[in-house]
Amino acid sequence: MVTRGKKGVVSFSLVYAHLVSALVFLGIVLLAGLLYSLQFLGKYPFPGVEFLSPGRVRMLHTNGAVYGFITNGYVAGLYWAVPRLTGYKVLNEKYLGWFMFWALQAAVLATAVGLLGGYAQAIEWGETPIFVDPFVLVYLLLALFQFTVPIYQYGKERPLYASSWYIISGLIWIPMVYIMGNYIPQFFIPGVAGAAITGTWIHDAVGLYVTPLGWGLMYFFVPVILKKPIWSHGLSLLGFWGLAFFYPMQGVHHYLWSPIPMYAQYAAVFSTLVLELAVVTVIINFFMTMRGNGDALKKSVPLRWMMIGIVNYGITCLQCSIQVLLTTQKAIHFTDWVVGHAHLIMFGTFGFWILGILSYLWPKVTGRRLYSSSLDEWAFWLIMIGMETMWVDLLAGGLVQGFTWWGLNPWMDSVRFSAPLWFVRTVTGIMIFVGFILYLYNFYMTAKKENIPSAQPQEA
Amino acid sequence: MNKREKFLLYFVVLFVIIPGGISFFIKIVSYFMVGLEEGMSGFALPFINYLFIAMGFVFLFVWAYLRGHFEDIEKPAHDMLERNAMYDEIEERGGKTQI
Repeated sequence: MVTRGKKGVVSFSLVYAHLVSALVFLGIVLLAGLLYSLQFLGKYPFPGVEFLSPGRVRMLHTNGAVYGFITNGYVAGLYWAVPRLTGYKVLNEKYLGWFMFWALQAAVLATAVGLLGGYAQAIEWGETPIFVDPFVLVYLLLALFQFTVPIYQYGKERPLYASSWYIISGLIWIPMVYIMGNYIPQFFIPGVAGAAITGTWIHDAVGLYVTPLGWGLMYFFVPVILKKPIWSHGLSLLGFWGLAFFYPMQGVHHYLWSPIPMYAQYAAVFSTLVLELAVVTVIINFFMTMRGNGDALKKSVPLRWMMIGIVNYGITCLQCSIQVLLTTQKAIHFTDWVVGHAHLIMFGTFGFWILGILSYLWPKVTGRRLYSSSLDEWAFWLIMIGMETMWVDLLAGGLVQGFTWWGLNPWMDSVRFSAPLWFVRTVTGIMIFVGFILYLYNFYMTAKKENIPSAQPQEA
Repeated sequence: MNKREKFLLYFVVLFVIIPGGISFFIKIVSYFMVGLEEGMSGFALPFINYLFIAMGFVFLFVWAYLRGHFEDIEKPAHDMLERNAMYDEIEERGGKTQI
């Protein structure tokens, strides 16, 4: 066994710092989303204030989610999981670890200020101001070395576990696709070809960064909480290598009915449909692991977050295979359907996984039992019901808008028909925000209370 | 690996991975052809980027194969749990870094 000395290999302080940052940014992101939803009700509280105009607040909502909340949450998970997967510490905790931590927070804050100041790039999910991009790239390269060096060291001695493969791949891909998506369409390739690259970037950011790191962490945390190995490691490796070779360049299906040649669009649709089957194998693996352990979902809230996230992932992928069809696109393109889809994957899946990781790690890094399991339950149900209802509401809104336009009705008809659905969206947003406040308060009180050692209260 | 798992594994290879590979290959060829059309050369860029990364993954796969990573395919899942339990114990005994 490749342990080093008798001490643990995890830097609790780095995990703790990233968890706190993830929570702070989640609060900002939820508030920005809630504010933006008020614009649809005609009740935006800052009319005429350019710095807080709804369009800019929307970008704060989306970019804050990816770089502030998800990245901090994932990095916290990586600082916990990678040393425990490998028995080796990350490359450097004291200098590189803390430098990376502050660099990430500075980059996210610079992005927020830049976006609110009107310096966004006109690239979806790549709105990060152009002056921030080089720093993000440097951060991503440092993260690659910080986490893959221990994995490589371990891989020389023993076979790697599925989590390690997913983590390596996510960290290798993201700098490449970040350069491609943020620089090429803006400076080198305009027009249709540039749009295709933008589409590729949108999907790659999700599929080649957020997805592999998320699955890497789920393959670690779910078996650890259940104290049971994954049902089939062979199947998990098959899923990984399928993703590694066949997932890239999915994004052209974002531009169906565009001037991109139709044969390329057909190929994009066909390839997406088949890839969804590969996704199903990953979900089967987790459900087979859960088989016979249903009770664990009652006892462990972290596990519940993770498994609901996995269910949401399955739903999103099924939805994806339906919405890449050219006929479906006729009805849903540019509507709230797409917004619902994005929310279910970014928050309902990856966000829920991070909330699960946070709930699992918080008592461990603070060394205290969770302050209130009742608050924990309330937070879970409020956020979960809020999210799922918002998704259904946005899908319904998308269909109403799409068919209203398809029927060549006046534009304002679609706005009037959507108004009640937009109201419901704001209500579900409030539910999520209240749930988050309870979640935050519970964590704050846990950290603050008298030091009673945690006896693994969140294990299943 | 028991019989049922083996069946599922072969089923996935035959009906998911191979069709996935074929459809992906068709997509790659289609994109390459788009890149050859007038004014669409930029379309080839994601294609080159993909080939570059895919080559890296081929080497990674070969490296893992030569190191014997796929010989006892289920072992890493058990090793991971054992190692994690060991660290839980060490940290319970106070071997953690303080905040």
